[in-house]
Amino acid sequence: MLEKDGNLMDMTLQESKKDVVKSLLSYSSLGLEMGLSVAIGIAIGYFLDIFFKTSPYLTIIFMIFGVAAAMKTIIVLLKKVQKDNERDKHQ
Amino acid sequence: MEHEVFTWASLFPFLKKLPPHVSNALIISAILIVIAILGYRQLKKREDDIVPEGKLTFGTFVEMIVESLSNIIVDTMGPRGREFVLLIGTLALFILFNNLSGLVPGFLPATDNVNTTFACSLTVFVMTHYYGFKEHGVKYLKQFMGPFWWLAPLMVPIELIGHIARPLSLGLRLFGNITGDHLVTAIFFGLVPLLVPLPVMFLGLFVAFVQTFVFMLLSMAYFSGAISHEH
Repeated sequence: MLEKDGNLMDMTLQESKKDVVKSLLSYSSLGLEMGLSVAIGIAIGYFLDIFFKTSPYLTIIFMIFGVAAAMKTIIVLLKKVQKDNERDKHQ
Repeated sequence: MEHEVFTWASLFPFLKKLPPHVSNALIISAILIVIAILGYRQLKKREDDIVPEGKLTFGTFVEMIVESLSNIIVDTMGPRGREFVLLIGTLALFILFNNLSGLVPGFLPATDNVNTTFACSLTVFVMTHYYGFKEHGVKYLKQFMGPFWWLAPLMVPIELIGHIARPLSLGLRLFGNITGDHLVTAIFFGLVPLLVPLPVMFLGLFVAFVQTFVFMLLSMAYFSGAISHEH
């Protein structure tokens, strides 16, 4: 885009700035959600352990599930970013 | 801290006995309802006008708020976002006004209590699954099973944990930010009441808007995930 399209460039710049703010805010939630996933996994395992009297096996298993859930959150977000990028390229 | 802290709620006899977060939420809701009714009347009055009013009146202000809210939602969710404007807009206005009420002396913001924020986030949680079932029927449960059926015993707990983490993180974030901000302002106010709390209050204004926007953005992401037709 050359200078004669200054107006258009301004608009796209503004749009991309808006997108950056939006994605920043939505990625900022990632940390809390990951931590909480592990915590919830451990909590579920702990109470199931008390219920079935199988300490500590279920706690460990559900902790691994929690870590996997945290990773899945990242993977889903990455896929979304990829899709958004491809859509932007096509436009 | 034995003496009574003044709140506006203590002026109303029927709100006096309620806990502060409930009474403040009621006051904020009443203010929002009055704004909505007045705005609706003004809009109804000039429903048939073709030329919009030139200057900023109460009616145009309300129209501006509603339009910008629905624009944000439709921009993020696509054309199907219109179905969610009512729910997300209501939550956003309620949270925004509650957050901002923390900056007015005599108001304890309702959002600095876990009960209020979890009420909001659980509403989003229940409604995502309601819309998911409405969109897909029983097939919605397939989303929890992952790509292959033999992976289901592994994927179901993972998905369940992920879905429980969502409302928890939504509610906890809002509660933490507003509580922290309100506490810092109160402590600075107690130390030096003149001018020093001003930058902190400005920060509070920023936090109030950002947290409302984050709540909106995340609930929109959850809703569009529930109604999407992928995997």
